[in-house]
Amino acid sequence: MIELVDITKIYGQGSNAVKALDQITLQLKPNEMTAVMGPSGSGKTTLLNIIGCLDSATSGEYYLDGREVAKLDLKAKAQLRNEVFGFVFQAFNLLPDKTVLDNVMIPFRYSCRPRREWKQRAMTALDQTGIADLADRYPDQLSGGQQQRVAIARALANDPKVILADEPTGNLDSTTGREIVAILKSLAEKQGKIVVVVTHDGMVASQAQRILQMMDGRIIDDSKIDSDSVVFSHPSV
Amino acid sequence: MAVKHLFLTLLTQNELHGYELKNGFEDLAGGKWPLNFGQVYQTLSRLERDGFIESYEVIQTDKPDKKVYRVTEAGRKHLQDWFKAEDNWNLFFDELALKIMAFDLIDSEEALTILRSYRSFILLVIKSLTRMLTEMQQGQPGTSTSPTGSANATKSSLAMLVERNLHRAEADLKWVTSMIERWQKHD
Repeated sequence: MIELVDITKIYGQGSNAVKALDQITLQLKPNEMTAVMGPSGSGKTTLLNIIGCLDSATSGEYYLDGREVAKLDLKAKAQLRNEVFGFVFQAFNLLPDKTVLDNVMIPFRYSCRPRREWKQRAMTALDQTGIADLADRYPDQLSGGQQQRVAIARALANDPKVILADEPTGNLDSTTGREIVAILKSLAEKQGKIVVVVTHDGMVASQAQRILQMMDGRIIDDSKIDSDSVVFSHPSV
Repeated sequence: MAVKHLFLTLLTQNELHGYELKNGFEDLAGGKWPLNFGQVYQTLSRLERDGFIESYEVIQTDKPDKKVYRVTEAGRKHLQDWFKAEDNWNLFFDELALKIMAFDLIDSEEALTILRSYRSFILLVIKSLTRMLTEMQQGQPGTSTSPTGSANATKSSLAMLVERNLHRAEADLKWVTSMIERWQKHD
């Protein structure tokens, strides 16, 4: 479980200081996909980076499965980033001169996993995103949706507990976007991961169980979609 | 509403009896707009009274006789006029429109409550519409996520209708979110 208590992040100093996050308190639980919405500059990406240990808070406490992250040394943090978190970005960020399989195996280079397990684990991850048959292709031979599936498989390679996605559908058409969101959602619902998705897109947010609305570094709304569907009406004549 | 125009459209394709018209209409609406027989026969009798359709009896030996309808020239003309008719936009198209009119009079906390609950509702609408679209594209309910399976997206009238609703709902979500941000700043 992830627990943030009064997390504040300030960039710059003195009169240039900008409060990107303002006393955020938040718990994130397994099996749940949470969408983070809000205007540009509201702190969404900063929040995601702090959760993923890519950035550290100016003040406040961050507990990951009960351990306070600030007390870990650099090496332990680097290991967390590689093994506890899987990152998915809007721009896919695949290495163009590597095959799909090699891209997915990149996280293993920084882990202590024996090399003989690499391929099988990577293929399992590709299978989970439905593109095991594309393992030998190169990124420029793939559609945007397929590239994002590779990126998700790479995020899954080390079987992380947490998937952090920053505008994962931002470069995709709406049909492909729906498919990508369905994959992310199933990682939460079927594999018990914590999934956090930063998005501008209402379709993406609507698929999450929980939606955080941010403004000026604060969470101004935290709501759950617990009902499954709406009953549509039609003209009575 | 224009149930009668869809009946006329169906009758330009085939001569049909009442039950077939009911089914044909409901198919076009993807099962989301059921008609009862009272509505069906009332609509048909008005169309016939106005000379847009005519009917004849088909004698059946094993079943009761049935009445079959066909469209007249006047009916085709009426349908063409409807296709060309000017569109209109109802400025007060739902309950929320009237609640918004009350915003000048109620306090901002009450307004925020209304807006937040509408936002949750809209998200649920988007979720439901997205699922309808996904099910249509996959041909059946389920969660298969084949990367190649979506290419032949359905072109059915219901899919177009759902997509249109999805676009409107997403626009409304943007609107309600910016309203919440604005009212929040009033605090």
